[in-house]
Amino acid sequence: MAKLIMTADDSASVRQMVAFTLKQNGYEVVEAVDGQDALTKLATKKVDMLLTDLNMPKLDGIGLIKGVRASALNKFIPIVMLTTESQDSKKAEGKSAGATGWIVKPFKPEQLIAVVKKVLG
Amino acid sequence: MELIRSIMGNIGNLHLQSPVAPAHAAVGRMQDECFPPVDNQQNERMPSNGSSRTIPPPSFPFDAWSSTISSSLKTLRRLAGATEREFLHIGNEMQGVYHRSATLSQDAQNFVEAASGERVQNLTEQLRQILREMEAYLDQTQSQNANFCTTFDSVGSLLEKIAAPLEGFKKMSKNLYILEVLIKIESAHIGESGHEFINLALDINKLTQQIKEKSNIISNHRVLLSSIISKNIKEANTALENQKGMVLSTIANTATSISGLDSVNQRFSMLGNAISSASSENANHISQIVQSMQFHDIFRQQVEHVIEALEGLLPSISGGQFDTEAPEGRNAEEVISKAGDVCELQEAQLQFASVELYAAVSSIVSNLSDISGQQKLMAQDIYAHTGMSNTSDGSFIDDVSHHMTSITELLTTCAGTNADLAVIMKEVTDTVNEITGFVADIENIGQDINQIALNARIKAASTGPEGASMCVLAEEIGHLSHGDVQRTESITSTLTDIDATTGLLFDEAKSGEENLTAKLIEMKAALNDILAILENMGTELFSMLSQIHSRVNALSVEIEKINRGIDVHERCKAMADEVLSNLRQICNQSRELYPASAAFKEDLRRMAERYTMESERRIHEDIARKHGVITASAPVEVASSKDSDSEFGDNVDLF
Repeated sequence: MAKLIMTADDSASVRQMVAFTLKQNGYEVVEAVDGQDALTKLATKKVDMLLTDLNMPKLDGIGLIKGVRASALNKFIPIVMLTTESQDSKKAEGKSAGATGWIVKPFKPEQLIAVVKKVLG
Repeated sequence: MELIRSIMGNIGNLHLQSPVAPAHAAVGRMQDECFPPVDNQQNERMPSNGSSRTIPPPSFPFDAWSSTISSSLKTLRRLAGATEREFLHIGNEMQGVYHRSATLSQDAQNFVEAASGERVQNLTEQLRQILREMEAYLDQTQSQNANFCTTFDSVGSLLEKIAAPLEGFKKMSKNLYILEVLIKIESAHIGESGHEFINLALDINKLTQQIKEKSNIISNHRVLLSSIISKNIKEANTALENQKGMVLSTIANTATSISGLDSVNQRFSMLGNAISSASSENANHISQIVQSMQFHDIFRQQVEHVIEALEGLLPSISGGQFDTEAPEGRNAEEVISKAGDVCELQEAQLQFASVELYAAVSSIVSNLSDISGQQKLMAQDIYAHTGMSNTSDGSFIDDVSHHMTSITELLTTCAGTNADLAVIMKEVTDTVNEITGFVADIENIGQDINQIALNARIKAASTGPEGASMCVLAEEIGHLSHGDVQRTESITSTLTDIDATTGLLFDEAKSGEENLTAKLIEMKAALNDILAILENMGTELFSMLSQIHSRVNALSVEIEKINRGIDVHERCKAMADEVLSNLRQICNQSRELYPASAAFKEDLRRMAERYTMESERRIHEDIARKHGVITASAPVEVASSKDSDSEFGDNVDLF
């Protein structure tokens, strides 16, 4: 059965590209337009992995990670940040919040797939 | 953002130390009007400790700056939101191209598989097998026809051998006629008792006539047979010679044609690799497009940062008086300097963002074109490898079909020649049998004559001395009949030889012909099956090729249409250029009055080291270098497993 991955990004075109890349590689994708939307959906939907942007309206990526880690349903899923931010302090903040990995945009589709495969085992 | 806010905070806390005249320029004027050249000669340079300072001209256009920055902000806000819809559209189009391109590659792969692989290998092997059988068949028919010719030649010679005995029959008939006359004369001398000899003479006459007739028939048959044989040997030899040449060339052509199938198979394997390579290239193009698509998000964030910076600057240069003397007032020099600083930085940021976006969209356009080009090349490769320059052309299959059809026609011709010769052989055999029958008749007649001669001797002996001469005649007749028996034996022996030769060959030919005919029918059926498969394969390949051809063209047209519709980078560039020009002019005016300050350089250093976006940090570093500031990165240590995850690339960290 195909693994279900959530992509949370306020840019529709980024979500589109992430979803395209994942679907081409046999994954199912659910989209969220920001951190809040992601948390709402994750409250009732079990996913295998979360890919999230850092800077989003309503609730940013760090807040989303904290929310997911505090939830019951998706507490232990791998979470990888997809962001333009590359500062080490930001990465440290993400890691401290519970991120599994950090990918700086622009990324190659094959990089994303390699990371997804790695973290999903 | 934190740093931008810090810089803006510095600007906001500036102390105004000298009054500045209100701006004159009105919003909406032309740029030159908005940014009148600053007359430096009117400015008085003052020392940096306050004893010497450049005083802004009373007419310094702060309001024009404010208006220009407000206008630029509007443009930037439109710019930040302008690309999303466009990129979504491009993304949809790209996915369409990806799917069509993937379908095309799959079609091409299917085409290669249909035209090569096990299927063609099996067909090639079957064709080879049939060709071998055909060669064997042709050898057999050729050999049989050669045997016919040799046999005919022998029969011709044998027929010559019966000419002499046949001549003997004629002489015998002549002699019998003389004896018959003499018997009649002698009978007349004997008188009454000779009357019975007259009857004998009449019997001899009757039998002599029969010998004459039958020997004539035999003679005519012999001549006819000789003529048939001689004529057919000539024709058969010519046919054999011609067929031999045709057989050799046709088999050679067919073998070449079948070998062509082998090479087609090899070429198609190579084509399969080329298509895989093209697919891989296209996957690479799609990957680059996906990467370029992300620049929309990066661009948007960069523009938002510029907006944030300019929004921070705007309040400090808008409205109110500048008073350089008032401790809590706004300092015109610092406002102008900071405006220069912010505009210089944001100009560089926006320029970088604009160039990156332009390059990204150009890359998308170029990659889409490359996909189209790759598909066209793939189609051309297929044409080249199949030998089909267009869908109406023949192909390697036609060559094989043509040659195999030729060889089948040749087989039929050879079989026809073979059957003709068999018919002649049958005719020869029948005629020889007929002759044998006549010879047997002559032999019987000879025995009858011998019997008559014996009776005549007995009759002559009973007649007494008067029958002595009749006895001599009867003995002579007996001798003649004896000679007849010898001649018939000789002819019979020759005919037996002919019969044995032709009979054996005819039997062989008959059974051989039956076998060959069955084999020919079998080969033709097998060949027709293969040719039907090849024809279907050809039709299928043409259909597939035609589909690929039209899909490549359609994709190419579609990509050209998509590319023609992509102008987001041009529009964004035009909007960015407008803002860039504004920022550059503000910066230039500022720098003409107040060169970059030490505080700005310090800010640059800090920003270069601590700015969160990699691209923005690089820009800060560049500007810092331009102003002679040396920066040193001070990365915060992240407890990540960078080394272990370097396999994913520099932009990936797994914790």
